[in-house]
Amino acid sequence: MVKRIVLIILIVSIKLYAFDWPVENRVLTATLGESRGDHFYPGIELGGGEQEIFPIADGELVYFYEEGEGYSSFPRGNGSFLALQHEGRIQSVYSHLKKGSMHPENLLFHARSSTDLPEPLGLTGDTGAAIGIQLLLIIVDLADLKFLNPVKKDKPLLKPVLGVASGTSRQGPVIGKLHLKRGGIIEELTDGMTISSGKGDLVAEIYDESSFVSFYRRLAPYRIYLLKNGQSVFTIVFDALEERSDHLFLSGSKTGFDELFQDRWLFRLGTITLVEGKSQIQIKAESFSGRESSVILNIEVSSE
Amino acid sequence: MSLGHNRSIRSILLKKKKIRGALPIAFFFAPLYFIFFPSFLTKEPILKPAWHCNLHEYTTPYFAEVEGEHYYFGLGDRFGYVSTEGKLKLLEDVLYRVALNDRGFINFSRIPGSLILQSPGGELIRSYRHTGYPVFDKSGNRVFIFYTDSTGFKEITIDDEELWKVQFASLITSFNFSEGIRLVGLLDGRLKVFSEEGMNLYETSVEGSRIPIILGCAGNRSGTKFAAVAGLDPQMLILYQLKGPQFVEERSYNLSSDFRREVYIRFSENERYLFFEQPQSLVILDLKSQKFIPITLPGKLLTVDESSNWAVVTVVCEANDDTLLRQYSINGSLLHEEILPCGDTFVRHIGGRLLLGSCGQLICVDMREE
Repeated sequence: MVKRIVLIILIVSIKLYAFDWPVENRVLTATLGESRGDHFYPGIELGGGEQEIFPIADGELVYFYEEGEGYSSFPRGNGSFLALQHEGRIQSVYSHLKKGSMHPENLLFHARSSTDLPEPLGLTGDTGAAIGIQLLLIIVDLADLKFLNPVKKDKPLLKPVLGVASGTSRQGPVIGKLHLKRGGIIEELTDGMTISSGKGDLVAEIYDESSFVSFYRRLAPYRIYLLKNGQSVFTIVFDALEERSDHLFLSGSKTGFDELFQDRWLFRLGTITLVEGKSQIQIKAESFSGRESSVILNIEVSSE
Repeated sequence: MSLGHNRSIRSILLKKKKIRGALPIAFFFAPLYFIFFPSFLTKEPILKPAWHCNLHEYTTPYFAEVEGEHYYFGLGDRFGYVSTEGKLKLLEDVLYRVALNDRGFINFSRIPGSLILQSPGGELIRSYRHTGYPVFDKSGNRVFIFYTDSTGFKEITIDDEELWKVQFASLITSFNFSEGIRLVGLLDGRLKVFSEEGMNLYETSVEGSRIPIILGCAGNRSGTKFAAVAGLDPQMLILYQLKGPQFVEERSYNLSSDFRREVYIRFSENERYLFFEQPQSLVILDLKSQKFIPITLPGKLLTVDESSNWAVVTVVCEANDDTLLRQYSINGSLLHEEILPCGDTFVRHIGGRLLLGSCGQLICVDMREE
């Protein structure tokens, strides 16, 4: 009896939270929320060579575009792509498909875990603004106007499969140089240094390294914390991007693109006030595979 | 309308031998005739070829010192400028796509590291450190840079001053701009109207369909009306109009189509007509009389351009294995048809001229009334 209840709970929880992975060979090459120079990246990028793409859940085709064919009112970098509508006001979008591999004459598509016969949406390709053969997967929560991170760690959207989130590095994310910006002056912060008191914006270079691709590839971290003297000052989590006033913000925060990124891997971690005496600044970063890195700087703050 | 020798029906009628006995009958029926066939009272437009330019004779990149005004063109994987007299000024290969207007071009790669604006003569004007895909506005003074994931765009001046930017939690499905307004249709069924300064003027969500989605949107030249093809089950044509300071939904029509891709929709230059795509047809909506004029096409619509002054619509469509060029009067009657040997075509009405491109040939045709 207990086993049955556990099984039912398991099935229900999988139904509620988990979507299927769209491809068999999963190599994570970019994640939601990364900087694309002037905007947030809206989904995850999966490499792994040419392979069939299946829907993350049973869904209905609502929109498609075949690269270079048909009418388009503006240039699109998605290449050949299609969008499905799922139950629960969820949409999924699959971009950079191999040209000619889509079958838009089919309107209903079944996921691999479906009781119905699963059907591929097409093949991964390099159409549009793709660097090599890849799939850009975007999951949209229509009810809350959000792009959801398919590989988020809390309540994962995609069914857990061994060795997937570990597409990120086996160490924690790299935390590079830390800088303090004050009135147009940028100072590098080092352990044991003495610095004058006052307010400043902390900027840090943080990235994760992909361990699943043979070439060097940087990925965004999953979570970044800034602590001053043991107290939390700033936390960002790349769980979702939500739309407010025609701009995207990290879910549940006031952090928009321009507030967060100084450069592609340079994060603005907020304003800190340094008062005379000893101060400890700690930055913690967590990767999508759950590994953490930390940098602690003990600095002396002088009156000037 | 006909090519070359024009023999209007009226002149043929005048040349007929007079039959004395029939004269009173003719006088009796003449007023009725002109009531039923009023078009014969007006002059008939005819097409006269002005020049042609064989692009196969040139290798890319090609530049030539050609003075005077010019037209831009894009034909398949090549683009360029040709003088109003038909002399080729520039011919280049398209890298991935090209943003073109008569004042210059940005030929950009699949993954652009920067964008380079060049003059019609090929001279470098300036470069921009943007990674998206550009589109010129009508004046050529502004550039829209679309993010390559289609989630937003920014509007910059030609001097690279960023004016405003947006990013949505949805994909852009359709975009259009006209005098003072920018229209954005989204995959989630929202239709947004922005001012040219980026102010949100109006926002609506499609209602009445099983699945809300914007499949096409267009505004009229003066920015006082816009329309959208939206929704699945049913698909609808929705018209909006500026009333006082606000846009309001004017009316909507259920359509028989079930498109799941972007749909062609455009207002005529004189703002009286709305053209929109339906399965194997182009529909002209006369906004004055609210009359729909369907034009049945033998295959998928490829390109449309219209000349309001001449009340002519030029359509390129598929027809089995052929590509077909057809010209229709604004009331939907077929004026001219031509089979084009190649799929890549370019059609552009410029005042009283029609610039046609097909199979590596550019043809300029003057439209005249005779």
